[in-house]
Amino acid sequence: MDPAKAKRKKARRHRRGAKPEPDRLSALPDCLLHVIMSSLKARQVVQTCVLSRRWRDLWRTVPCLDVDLDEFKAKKTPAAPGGDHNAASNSNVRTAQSDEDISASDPESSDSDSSDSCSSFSSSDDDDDSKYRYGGNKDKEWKDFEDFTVNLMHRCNISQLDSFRLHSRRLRAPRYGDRQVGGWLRRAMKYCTPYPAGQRKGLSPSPWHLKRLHLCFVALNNCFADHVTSVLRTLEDLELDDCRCEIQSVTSHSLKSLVLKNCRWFSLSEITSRTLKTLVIDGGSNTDDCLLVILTPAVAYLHLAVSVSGFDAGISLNDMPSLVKASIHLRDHAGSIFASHKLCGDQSKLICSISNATSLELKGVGRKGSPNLEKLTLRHCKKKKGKTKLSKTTSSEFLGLNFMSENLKIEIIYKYGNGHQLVKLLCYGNLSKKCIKLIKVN
Amino acid sequence: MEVDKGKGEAEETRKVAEADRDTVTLKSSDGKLFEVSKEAAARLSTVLAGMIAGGSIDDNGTDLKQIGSEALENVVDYCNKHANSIPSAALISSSISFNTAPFKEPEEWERKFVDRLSHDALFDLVEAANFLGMERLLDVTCHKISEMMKGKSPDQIREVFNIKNDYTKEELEEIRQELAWAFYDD
Repeated sequence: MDPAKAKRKKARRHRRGAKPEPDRLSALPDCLLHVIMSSLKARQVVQTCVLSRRWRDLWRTVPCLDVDLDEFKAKKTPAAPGGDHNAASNSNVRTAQSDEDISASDPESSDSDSSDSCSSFSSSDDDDDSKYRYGGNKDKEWKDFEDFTVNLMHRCNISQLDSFRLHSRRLRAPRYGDRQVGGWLRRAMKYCTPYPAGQRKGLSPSPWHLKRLHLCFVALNNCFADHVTSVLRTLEDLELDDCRCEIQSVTSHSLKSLVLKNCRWFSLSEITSRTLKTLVIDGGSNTDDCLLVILTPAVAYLHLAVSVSGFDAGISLNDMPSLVKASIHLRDHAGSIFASHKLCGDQSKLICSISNATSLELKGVGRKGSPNLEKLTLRHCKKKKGKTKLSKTTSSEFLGLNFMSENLKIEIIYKYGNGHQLVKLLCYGNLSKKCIKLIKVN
Repeated sequence: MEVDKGKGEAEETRKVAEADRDTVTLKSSDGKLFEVSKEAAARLSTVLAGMIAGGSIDDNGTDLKQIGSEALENVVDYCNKHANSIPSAALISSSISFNTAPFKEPEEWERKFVDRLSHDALFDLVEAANFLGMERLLDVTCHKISEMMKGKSPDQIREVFNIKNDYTKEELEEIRQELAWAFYDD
């Protein structure tokens, strides 16, 4: 047969759900299979071990693990032990054997079989989903999640991973579930070492290889922060989502990206990293009387979207001379009850420290009628090589800025370039020229 | 873009212009010639970048004996599309620069690009991308393969990829016992 024709036929058969003849997947080298497995969730990664001998131990050396409570949704699980579904789900392995028999006998007939079994699979999923919703399989889901995660962390050396993601969910976790997960993580951190020669007693722990760590709904404490500083020495990307953090300071000598979403901090007073390029703080809260000082001089991208009441004692940003893009969004700030919050009063300071940004977006800063923002200072740091030109600032994103406040004074301190251009730009909005003060420094 | 081979005159003129050309010609295992922008090839493939820098590019078509014409056509197609989509890529990277997803999700056009491939063509492309050291194309194609596995039971995965189960029943039972925590079992 003409090869193109054969190929077309093969493609047609594939579209119909038939098998392509050779096993192209298993023929790929380990490194590619690892790349492929890295986009799967962790339980499915482990389950590949039953596919064939080729796959038996691949999961043990996969570089990325994504453990997600979502994967443990009571799918295909029996509502009652001994039920019909039980047999079906238990036979993961046994049906594999029988399936093998079918495919060996007649590939054409197995086509229809396979499509049938697919549809029966999906319908049973639906059934189980409704059982999950009404029967409340949360407990089982959590237990499966726990058994899996604890065993996995025990057997798979997470200190040798490139990337580790541990996602729990507030809505589906039991009470204090985040602390449980925090405990599993803490134990893993304590006992995992990339060198299996045993614990090096009395010596500092050997560094992990981890580059990316994402945690969702995990309770963390200072042990974790210490681990980040002293053991995760190659960590570049840390994301914490909905975590409860009894952490006073985050320090890293390797981090490039730090994303903190909706985390509850207890007396967080310092974030320090000379290497950090991206900093995102989105939502969350800190202890009432604790000022957060951010010392991250290399940050190029800054995104700060917090409610004023959440960070009551304020956030202090130190100089970020490499800042390229900044977005500051202070929420619920116009409400009168928040008028006394420190963060409001500190706005001008906040903005001062990000004035090197070439693209600046401010939202919720200086709302109409807000008594808080009285002065906006755009200052060009004359200390830094004197190369920054004011014209850069003219590209700033002033859209969305509402300067309606009558007592707002804008102060522009500049050394180089044409300050009047910026004034023009500002007057294009709602500002009157007399509110703007131009100061040229030498 | 495919170049008709055997056009004597065209060969000659190409040779003359070779020195300052901004494309390179690649030859598939079955002898077909393809032209691709030098810049895109060097940017997307570490192997081609090395060949270009090392001057080991053959003006009459650099032999890539491991890659069939269909896969090479897709590689070249990908390079050209990638070169054209740079503005949009830049736009996206600036607007979602706060996104720090560990796996850079394929863009819409990349998704479409791999979606239209047949099973075999997809694997041919994975192998070609691997051979040429095209990291991004590897990510995109491997991502497609994992999409095909996602959420499927081992049985279903065997179906889709025609993986032959060479375990004995006893062996499987043993594995399942050892790794009971990774399977559903109550």
